[in-house]
Amino acid sequence: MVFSSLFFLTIFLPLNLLLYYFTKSINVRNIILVVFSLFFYAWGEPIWISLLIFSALVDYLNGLFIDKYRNQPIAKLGIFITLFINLGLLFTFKYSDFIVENFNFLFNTTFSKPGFLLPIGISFYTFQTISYSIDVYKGEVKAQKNFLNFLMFVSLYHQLVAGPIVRYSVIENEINNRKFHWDDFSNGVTRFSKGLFKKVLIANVAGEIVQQFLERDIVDMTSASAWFGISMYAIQIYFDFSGYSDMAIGLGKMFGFHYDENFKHPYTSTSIGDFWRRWHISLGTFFRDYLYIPLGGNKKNVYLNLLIVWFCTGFWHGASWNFILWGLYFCVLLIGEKLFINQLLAKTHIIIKHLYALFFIIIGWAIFYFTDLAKLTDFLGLLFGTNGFVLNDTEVSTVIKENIIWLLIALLFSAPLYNYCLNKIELYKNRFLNINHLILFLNIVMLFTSIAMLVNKTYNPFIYFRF
Amino acid sequence: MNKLSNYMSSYRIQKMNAFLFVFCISILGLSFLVLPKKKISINEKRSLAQFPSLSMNSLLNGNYMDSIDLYFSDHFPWREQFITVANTIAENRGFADENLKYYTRNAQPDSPSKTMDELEKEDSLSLESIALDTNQTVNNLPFETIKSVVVSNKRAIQMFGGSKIGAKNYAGLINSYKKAFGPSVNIYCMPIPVGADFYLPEKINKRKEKEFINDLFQQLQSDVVKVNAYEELSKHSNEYIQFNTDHHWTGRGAYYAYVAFCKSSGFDPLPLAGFQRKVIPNFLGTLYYYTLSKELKTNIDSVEYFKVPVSTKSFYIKKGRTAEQPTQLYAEFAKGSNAYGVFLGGDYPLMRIATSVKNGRKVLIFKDSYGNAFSPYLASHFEEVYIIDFRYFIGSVKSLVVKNNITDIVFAHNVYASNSSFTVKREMGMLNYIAPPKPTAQPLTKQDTSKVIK
Repeated sequence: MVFSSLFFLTIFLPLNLLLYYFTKSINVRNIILVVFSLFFYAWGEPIWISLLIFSALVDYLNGLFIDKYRNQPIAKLGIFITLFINLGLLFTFKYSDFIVENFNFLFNTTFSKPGFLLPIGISFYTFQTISYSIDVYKGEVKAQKNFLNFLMFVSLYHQLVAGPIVRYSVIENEINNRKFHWDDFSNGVTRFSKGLFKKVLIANVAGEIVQQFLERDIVDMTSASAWFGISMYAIQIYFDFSGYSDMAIGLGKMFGFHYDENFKHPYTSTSIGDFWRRWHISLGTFFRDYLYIPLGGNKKNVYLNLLIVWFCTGFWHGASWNFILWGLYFCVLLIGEKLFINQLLAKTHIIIKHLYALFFIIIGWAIFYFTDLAKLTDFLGLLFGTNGFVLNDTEVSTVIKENIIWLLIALLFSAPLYNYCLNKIELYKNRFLNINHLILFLNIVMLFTSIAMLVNKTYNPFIYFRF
Repeated sequence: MNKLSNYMSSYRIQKMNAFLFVFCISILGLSFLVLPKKKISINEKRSLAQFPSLSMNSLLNGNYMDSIDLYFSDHFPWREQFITVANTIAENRGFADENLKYYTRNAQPDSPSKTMDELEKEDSLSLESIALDTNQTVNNLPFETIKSVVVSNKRAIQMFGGSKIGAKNYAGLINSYKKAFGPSVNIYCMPIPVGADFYLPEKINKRKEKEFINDLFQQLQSDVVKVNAYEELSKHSNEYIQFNTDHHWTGRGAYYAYVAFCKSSGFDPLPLAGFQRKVIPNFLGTLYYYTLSKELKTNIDSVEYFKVPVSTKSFYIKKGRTAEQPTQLYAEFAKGSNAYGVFLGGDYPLMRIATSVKNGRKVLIFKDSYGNAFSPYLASHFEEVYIIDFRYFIGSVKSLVVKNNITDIVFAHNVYASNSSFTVKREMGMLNYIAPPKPTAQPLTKQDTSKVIK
């Protein structure tokens, strides 16, 4: 199931909230959350729910095992098992086709591809369980004794299929001790409505335009339509992903969980390093804490470490060479920034810094978008005028004019301008306009417009199927 | 004190925010469960999704859940109001450019479901035909899947791309017919433009239909008669030859194609004044319902038709019957959004029109719905007119032609159908058709329609 579906919004969620809040015992509430989460997952992946439970069971036992043999060498076995099983699951279900294909290509063999369909969310929940076992080993969290509680951590539908990657330490205390506050619930509603609006009214509309401009033969594109199309993709992927994270964080708050932020207006970055501190934060910190630092971090072999981390970051996004290329592309840029770009930029105007970052982010999205490397090469060529610069494209100007209001709203939400406007209004508050009334009104508007768009069955893709 | 009251008010409003949200989504969910469900949507002219039946298979592969999602959005409470809101949003995302608006639907908005016309005609028309050598059903025809529509100057026009491969394959099909029937049967190829060249602003479409048609003609054998309806229509493009709100051409447009046909085949075309002119007013067509553009609603169509001045008897085959049924050449009761149905009364697998003409000539027309407006004109020049709708007909064209001494075959497809591999597959299948073995009981829909006609 996805959040942006009518069934979720009007049946699943209200039913879950009502049952949850009509019971008082935290144990019963946790059971309700587990049952709803499993149902949520089974709605799209009825078979692969077994993998989810298996992964949870393995790391539950692992945690107990590590805890029992704490400070003994054998405890390390727990780390080995979690990596072996979880990465094994990932490699089997996500990367086996890719590996076989490349092996066949390199050695001229003809092994048949296993052809597994990627179970949704596997990249997210395996990372969550890995982080748990490692954290137990490091003594940062206590092992969870109750399997049901642990299963709730792994399967909680808020973050199950599209992140953020929630670490056990973040919700450890909230598993058994959730305090209800009206402002939590209310902020959750506001956050959820905003996320839904971002997904349905911004990302989906951008996605339609992306289809129109990028899903065609390269020969039918002009430089203008290529730049426009890929910029729309930048809007689509940001609003889709951050909209999902907003909804996850909002849902968490409605049930008393507090997840960490996953996006901080990444398109307002002033460098690529800055971008990666604002984009999919839960993934970046995962690789930092569980790969980069264990490898030695900044202390030794820093370039090799960076290379490994960015290879993995790219590869995590999908079993295809372009994602690896995308990771390495950022690796090169980040090393470049460490070596000289940052010094160069330091002296320039802030606008230059923004343009620099945006330019390379957008080129990055082209690498991310085209899984076919031949098409990618053609497309990059087109961006830089190998087909001649045709900047006067009536289709582009028509579509921009037709969507100019929408485009401005998208830009408003890309920068922290939305909150800025609300804060400004709050400064001038008087008895006629209470900021809270305005927010309440906006929430309802966002909810109903999103539902209207969903009823109209407009384009509503799920873009994480490769993750 | 002030702080406390402030806190109290924000506390109250937080509660309100929470309750209002839960209230709204619960009410929508409850209403969905309680309210009665409609079967068809009048506005969208289609039947709404049915509640899926449960099977182990559909449950395990997730199809069951997908169907439920579909059912859900089709029967959502206050659905039409929500759609109006969504369309208002869509129309106000920016400013339209000089009467030019693109409509593209990438996601197929509707899963296979019948349109309203089809529903209404259900009992009089065989719909459930099965493709000869493909498993495609008639609901997913490539060319009927409207893709990109531009509204410009109060008129909706479909974008046409055309492809070299499409032209090559279609030419190959017609050449095969020529080879199969030899010199004793005249074969005509008459590609019908859909208005893209005539009515799309030049900056969007530069003679793409013409390019496709020329490409097609070049690849036809010299003994295939090329009917250049495009040329004839282009001379009259300022007349009412194409609907504003529908994807079809008008009876007048079809008349000019008939003139082009006569020029290529040596008949004298009757003057337009020689027909009895009739008009059905207030026609809002498919492209209006596709775009729901308010601009189009101000340019409503009327269906003009010209009745041939010869006496005719028309027949068609009803679904599941073994004998032909009498029908009318013009379904004059057609009205509203079904008004184009006046021509032939709709799409039948096979029709036969017997006329009062005596010249030994009999014609077979391959057509899509564009051919409906064109076919009646030929009744003035042939003893019999056979009309095959390539989507529904099942059987052998060879035996049909031989048994009935057909002398002329016309391929009267629009450029979309001509460019489509589905058309080529179907009509190639009819040429090479081998009847299924006799004794096994065939389902009715698979019956050889060529055998039951006479």
